[in-house]
Amino acid sequence: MKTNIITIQLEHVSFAYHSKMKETMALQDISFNVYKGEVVAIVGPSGCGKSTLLSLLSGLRKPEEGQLYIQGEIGYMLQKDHLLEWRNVMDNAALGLEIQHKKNPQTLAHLKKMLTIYGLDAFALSKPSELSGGMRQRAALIRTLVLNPDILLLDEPCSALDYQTKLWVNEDMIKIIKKEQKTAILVSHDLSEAISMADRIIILSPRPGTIQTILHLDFPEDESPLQRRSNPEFSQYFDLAWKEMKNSYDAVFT
Amino acid sequence: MTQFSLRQQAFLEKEMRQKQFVFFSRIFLFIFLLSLWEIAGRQKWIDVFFFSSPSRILYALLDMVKNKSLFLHVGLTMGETLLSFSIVTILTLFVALLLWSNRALAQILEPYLILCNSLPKSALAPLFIVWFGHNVKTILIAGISVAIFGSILTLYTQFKEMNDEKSKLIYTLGGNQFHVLSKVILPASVPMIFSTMKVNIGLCLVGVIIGEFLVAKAGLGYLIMYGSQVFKLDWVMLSIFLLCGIALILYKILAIAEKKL
Repeated sequence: MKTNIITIQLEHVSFAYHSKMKETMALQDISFNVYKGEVVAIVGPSGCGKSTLLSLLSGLRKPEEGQLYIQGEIGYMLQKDHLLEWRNVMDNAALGLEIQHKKNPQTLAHLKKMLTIYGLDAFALSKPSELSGGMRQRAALIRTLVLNPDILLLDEPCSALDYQTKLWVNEDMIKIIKKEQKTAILVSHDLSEAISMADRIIILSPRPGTIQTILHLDFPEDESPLQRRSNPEFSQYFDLAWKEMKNSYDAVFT
Repeated sequence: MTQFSLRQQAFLEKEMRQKQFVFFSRIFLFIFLLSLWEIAGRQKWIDVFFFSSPSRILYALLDMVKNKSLFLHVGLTMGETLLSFSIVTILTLFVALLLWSNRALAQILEPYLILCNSLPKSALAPLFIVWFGHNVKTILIAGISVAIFGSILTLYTQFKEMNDEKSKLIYTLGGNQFHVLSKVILPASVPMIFSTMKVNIGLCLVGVIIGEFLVAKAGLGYLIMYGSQVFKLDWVMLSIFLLCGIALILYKILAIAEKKL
C-alpha cells in the first residue's frame, strides 16, 4: 500500500570507483524519494550504476557527494542466493538472525512459520544443493525477511532463474512484499519484469548513471504481476519505457 | 533391497573386478619386489652386508621388539613429529588469519615468507644446534621449520581468494569481518586446511629426522645415523621401513579425522 511517508531520500548523490589506472564515474547527481509501501524499480543498461545504487542504499558504500536519508531497517537480497552448502536450509535462513544475535525461540518459531508458508518446511533439514532454483531463491528471501526489514533491496533477484520460474517467483515476491507491507527497491535489466512489479520505474542513463526519467505506473492496486502482463496498458508502458531507454542510449552512443 | 537391471549389475560387477585387480596387483608387486631382493641376496647377486635383505630386516625387527628398544625409537620419533605438527597447525592457522585480516602486514611479510619457504631448512640445522643445544628442542624446531612457512603461505592464499560475494552477503546481513571469518571463510576452507595438514605431517617427519640425525640419542633418525656409522645396514633399512609405516599411519589418522568432520 502506497503512502505519503518518505522512507528514502537521495539528494544529488554521486559515486565513483577508484583504481590505480583510472576513476570510473558510476552515478552522477541522483535525486529521488521513495515512499513507504512503494515498490520502485530501477532499470537501465548494464554498467549504469544500478547495483552501485543498492550498495549505497544498503550502507555497504558511502556516497562521495550528496546526501542520503533512510528511515528504517534495510534488507538486501543479492543477485545470487549464496546459500552456504555446509548449512541446511533452516540454518541458512537463520544466518542473519545468528549474526545479529537475534536467534531465540520466538524468532526461530517465526522462521519455521515462514518456511511453512513459503513451502520449504519439508526441506528445512536438506542441503541447499537438493533444492530447485526457485526454492533456493525463496530460502534466500526468507533469510532476508526473517530479520523483519522495513525496506527490501532486490538486486535482480531472479536473474539466475529460468523464465517460467522467474514469473512464479516474482508473483510470490510481490505477494509477500504487499502482505508484509514492505517498501521495496528492485533493480532489474528486464523492462517487462519492472513494469509487472513496480509502482514507479526509475530509468537510468548509461554510465555515468543519471536519472533519465521516472515513470509512474497506474495499475489497479490488486493486480498481480501476471495479471498486469495481460493488461492492455502494459504494452503502452513498455513502449514508453523502451523509448526513454533508447533515447538515453542514442544520446550517448551515436 | 533395490532391484538392479541386468546391465546395471554387469556394470557393477565390472567395477568390482577392476577394484579387486588393482588391490591384488598392489600386494603382488610388494611381495614380488621383496622376494627379488631376498633371492638376490641369497644368490650373492648383491652383498647383504651393504644391501641387507628382507629376512635380515625381519630378524632385526624381532630383536628390537625383544629388547624393547623398538618402542623407544618409534615412539620418540612419532611423538616428536606429532608435537611439532600440532605446533605447526596452530601457528599456521593463527598467522594465516592474522595476515588475512591485515592486508598491510601481509604485504610486508609476503617476501620474507616466500624467502623462508624456499630456503633449504637443513642449512639452518647447525645453527639450531648452537642456539638450542643438543636436545629435543632442536629436533622440534627442525620439524616445525620445514613445514611452517609453506603451510602459512598456502592457507593465507586460500583465505585471500575466498569468494568475495559470500563476504558481501555477510555484510548485507549486518555482519562484520569476524562473521565473514567464522561463518564463511573457516567453514569453507575445512577441506583445504585438512589437505595442508596432510602435507605438513609428512614435512614435520622430514624435519624431525633431520634433527635426529644431528642431535638425538634415540629415535629412528638416530638409528639410521648410528646404523650407517657402525655398518649395521639392517637397522638402517628397518628404520626406513618403520618410517614408511609411521608416515602412513599419521596420514591415515588425518584422513579418518577429516571424514568424521
